[in-house]
Amino acid sequence: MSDRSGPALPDDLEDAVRRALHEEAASMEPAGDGLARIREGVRETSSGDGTGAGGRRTLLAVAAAGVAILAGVGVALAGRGDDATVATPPTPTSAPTTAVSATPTPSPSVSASPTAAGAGSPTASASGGALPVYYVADVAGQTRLYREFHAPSAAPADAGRAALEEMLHGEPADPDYTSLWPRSTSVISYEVSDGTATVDLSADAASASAGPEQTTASVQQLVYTLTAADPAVKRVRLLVGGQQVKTLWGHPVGDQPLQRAPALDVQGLIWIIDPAQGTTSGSPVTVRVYGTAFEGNVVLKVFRGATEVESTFVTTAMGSFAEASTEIDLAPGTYSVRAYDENAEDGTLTERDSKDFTVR
Amino acid sequence: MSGSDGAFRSDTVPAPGDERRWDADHAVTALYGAHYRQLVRLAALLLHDVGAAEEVVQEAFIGLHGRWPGLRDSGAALGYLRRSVVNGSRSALRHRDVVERHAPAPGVDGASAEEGALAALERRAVVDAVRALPLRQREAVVLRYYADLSEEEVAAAMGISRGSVKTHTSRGLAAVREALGRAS
Repeated sequence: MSDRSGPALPDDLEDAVRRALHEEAASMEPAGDGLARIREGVRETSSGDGTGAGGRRTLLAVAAAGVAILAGVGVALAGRGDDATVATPPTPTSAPTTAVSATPTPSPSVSASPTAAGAGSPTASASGGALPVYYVADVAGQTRLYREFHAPSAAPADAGRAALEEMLHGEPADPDYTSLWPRSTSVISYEVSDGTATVDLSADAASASAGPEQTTASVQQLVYTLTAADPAVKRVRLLVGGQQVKTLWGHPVGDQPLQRAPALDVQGLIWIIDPAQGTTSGSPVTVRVYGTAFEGNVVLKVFRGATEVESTFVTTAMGSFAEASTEIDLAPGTYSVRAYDENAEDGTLTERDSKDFTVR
Repeated sequence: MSGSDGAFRSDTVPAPGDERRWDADHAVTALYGAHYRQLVRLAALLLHDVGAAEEVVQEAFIGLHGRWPGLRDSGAALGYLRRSVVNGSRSALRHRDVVERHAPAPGVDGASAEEGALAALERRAVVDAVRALPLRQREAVVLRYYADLSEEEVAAAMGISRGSVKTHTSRGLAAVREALGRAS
């Protein structure tokens, strides 16, 4: 390469590049109205949120306000709100019930920003009555909860009961997810009264064996599923064979009635919401994640077989969960997308979720 | 912009040591003053379009406004801005006409030749060579040698590993070297 370069080649290429870029940059002067334009943009983004100005709002409140504008609804960010945000439910067992995104993005440029810390919106229940069903997955040495949306197999009057049946007897669309509850378990009775769902499972429910962390995760899987599927459910009383249980699979289940443990303790740290497992779409493919990471930074890599074809990132939140999305141009083919968070200490990446999908 | 519209109310910037007490408006104003021009130039080196670069950087600041309460740290905020600028530049390029992207830069020859300065010619040649690099290599080279970021910071801004930064940077430099050799 350099043998025929002659004297024109700078002695120190790095210095030459550094100097040239700095000089080139110095010749480019931004217009003076940047701050005014930013303020205008901020005003457009936050107008009408009703929360007023001020720096004492929490991140969640700001994020929720953002969503309130986007979706045209104001919703508190409590409990199961996040279960309603998701756009396209995977429907492994039936024809897709198409749902439009409940978190519309106001402009393309915003797609790199977090759009929601999981605020539920009425429009999301337009996802064709899809049921939120939680599964467990062992990821990076921890058992964590992951959520899918499933089409109800029948048309049950009670969403909580339907989701419970689906959790026990349905199949997760994502092969990385599983349920440790024995499939032979049947629901003897299910009642909701005054915010408490009382679930009586057949004796088979007690017949699994699992470690303490897996057991805790599985109990939370049940609680998360029921509280997500039925907004009236705040607590779950778990009975097996008519008896309220203190232990399950040899491990304590915690205080009854059971409540949702904090999401940061039990949820998968990053969920890939779109594309859903096994779906087909055109290009560009919208990759939407819900997660929490150091500085919010979620790394996304797309693989075709073993070959990495794309690497990008989105910014979610740190210390809480937020949704973020990006678009990736891909040629027709079959791919998998993997989401990672980055170790703050050494920059190593840990995979947290993956989805296989097809571009037509 | 007045206090009454509720969105952006403050022009005063507290002392830097107070940053944890800044509200989002303070933070955006302070970080704008410190970093806006450099971020625009960074994006402009990636996009070759100062106007588009400004839009990308403005969007990044707008995004920062909403996120400040979760950051409360100017270092983390700058990291967020860099990532947003790199990501926003990628999006802008993706949406830009491919033909335009590969058109030769204006004034590649002629103008600078008339200056008669070898340094100007060399600078032009280097800038053109960087401009011709594949996107990831260009990002790595610009972040490393214009923004003067460490490998770790480049990795964070690009959302890739440090190993990949090394690879993209060294390939980028090799391609620049080759292009300069060809040009002579």
